[in-house]
Amino acid sequence: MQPFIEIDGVSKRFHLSRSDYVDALVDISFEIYKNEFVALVGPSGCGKSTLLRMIAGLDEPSDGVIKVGDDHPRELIAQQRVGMAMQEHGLMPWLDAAENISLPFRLAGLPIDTERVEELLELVKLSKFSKARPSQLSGGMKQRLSIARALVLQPDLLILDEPFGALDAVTRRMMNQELQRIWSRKPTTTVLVTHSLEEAVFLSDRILMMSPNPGTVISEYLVPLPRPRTLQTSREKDFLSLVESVTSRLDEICSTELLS
Amino acid sequence: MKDILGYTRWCFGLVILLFAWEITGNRGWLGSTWPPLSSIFDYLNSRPNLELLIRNSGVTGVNAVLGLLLGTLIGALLAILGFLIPRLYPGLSTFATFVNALPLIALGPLLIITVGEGATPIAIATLSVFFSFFVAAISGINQTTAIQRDVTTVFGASRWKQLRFVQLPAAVPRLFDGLKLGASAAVLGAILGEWFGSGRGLGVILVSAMQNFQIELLWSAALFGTLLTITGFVCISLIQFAFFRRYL
Repeated sequence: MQPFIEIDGVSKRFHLSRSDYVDALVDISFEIYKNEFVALVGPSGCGKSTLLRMIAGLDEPSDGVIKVGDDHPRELIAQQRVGMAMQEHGLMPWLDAAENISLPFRLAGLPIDTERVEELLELVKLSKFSKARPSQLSGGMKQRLSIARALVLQPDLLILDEPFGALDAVTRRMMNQELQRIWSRKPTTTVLVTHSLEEAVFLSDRILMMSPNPGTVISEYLVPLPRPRTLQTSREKDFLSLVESVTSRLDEICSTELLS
Repeated sequence: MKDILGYTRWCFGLVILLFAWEITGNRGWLGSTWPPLSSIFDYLNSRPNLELLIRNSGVTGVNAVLGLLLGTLIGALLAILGFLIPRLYPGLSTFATFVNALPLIALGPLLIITVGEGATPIAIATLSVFFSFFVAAISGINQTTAIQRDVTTVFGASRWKQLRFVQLPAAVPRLFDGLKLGASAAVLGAILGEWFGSGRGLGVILVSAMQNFQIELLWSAALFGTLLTITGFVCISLIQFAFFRRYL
C-alpha cells in the first residue's frame, strides 16, 4: 500500500545565533497511511510539535523530505485539504459559532455550504449555540468548535496539536470520546500531538514515541483496539496494559534524560 | 449614582476653570493679550463676527475632512500593500517615517508652489493624518494571534483572503483609534496649510487677527478650531460606538 505521508530523513536545526544552534530533530523517517490515526508522544522538548508543523506545511525541514499525497505539504494546503486544531482554539472573536465554522469556506473562496455548517454544529453538539460568540462559550465548547472548523471542508489530513491540552481531566475524557465518535464516523488521516498517553491510546491506530536531544522516533506501538471505542474501552484490560507499557517506556526515556 | 457624581465633578471643574479665566482676563494678570472670557462672547454676539467665524470654520472643516479622507486612504493603502507584499513592508515603513519626520512648516512654501494655495491646506492635513493611520493600521493588522495566523494559513487562504476575513476585522478597533488621532491632526494640518497664504479659513483669520492685534477675533478663531477638533473626535466616537454595539 502506498503511504499517504512520507517522512524521509527529516532534520530540523534552529540557529540561536551565528555560531550556536540546536538540532531539534535528527534524521526522522516514517510513513503514515491513508485514514490512519497516528499519535506523536514524548517528553517536552522532543520536537513533536515542530515535526507536526512541518507535516502541516507551516515550517520547512532543514534537511530531508516530507511528502503528503506525493506532494509538498504546501500543495495540500493550497488545495484546502488540511484541517487543523490546536491547544489554543484560534477562533475569531468577532464571528459567532456558525460564522467561525464557515470561515474556511470564505478563506478558500468557496460558497458557504450552510447545510454542512449546520451538520457540523450538530456533530459537535453546538446547534443551540450557533449565534454565540467564542467569548460566550466554555473552554470545552470552544475546542469542539475549533475541531468542527477543522473538519468543515472534509480535509484529507487532520492536524491536532494538544487540542484538549487546556481542559480539565473530566472534560478532556468526554472530548476524547466525542472526537473518537466523530472520527470513527468518517476516518481521516490524522496526526495528533499529545502529552496524555491515555488519550494517545484511546484515539490512535499507532503511537510514535519520540525522545529528545536530539529529537528522534525511538519506539512504535500499534493500538489494535476495535472501534468505535467508548468509555468502557478505556476501562478494559487491553487498553490499560497498553497505556501501562507506553507509560513505562516514556518514564524510562525521561529518567535517562535526567541522568545524562 | 457614581455617574452623576462624576458628571457633577466634571461640571464643577469646568466652572472653576472658566471662572479663573474670566478673573485673569478681567484683572489683566497675564497682560492685554489674555482677554476675559466674557469679551470673547461679547465679540461673538455680533452677527457679522459670528458669521465670519462660522464661514471660515466651514472652509477649514472641509479642508480637514478632505485631508482626513485622503490621509486615511493613503495610510490604509500603504498598510495593505505592506501586508500583501511583505518584502515591501520595511521600505514602506521607512518611507512613512521619513515623510512624517519632514517638518510641515518647511513643506508649506514647497506645497504652495507645487499644488497651489487652495490645495495646500488639504495636502498638509493629508500628510498629518496618513502617518498615524498607517501606524494604527499596521498595528491593527498585527493584532491576530500566532495561532489564528497558523490556522488561516493551513486553511489555504490567499494573502488577500487572509487580510479580508481575518486581519482587517481584527484591526477595526485600532483603525478607529487611528481615525481619532487623525481627526485632530487633520484640523491642525488644515489650519497650518491655510496659514501659508490661502485665501480663506481659520488659519487666515488667525494670521490676520494676530497681525492686526484683534485679540478677541484671535481667541474666537482658536475657540472655533477647538470646536472643530472636538466635533471630529465626537463624530468618529459615535460611528465607533454604533459599529461596536453589534458586538456587545
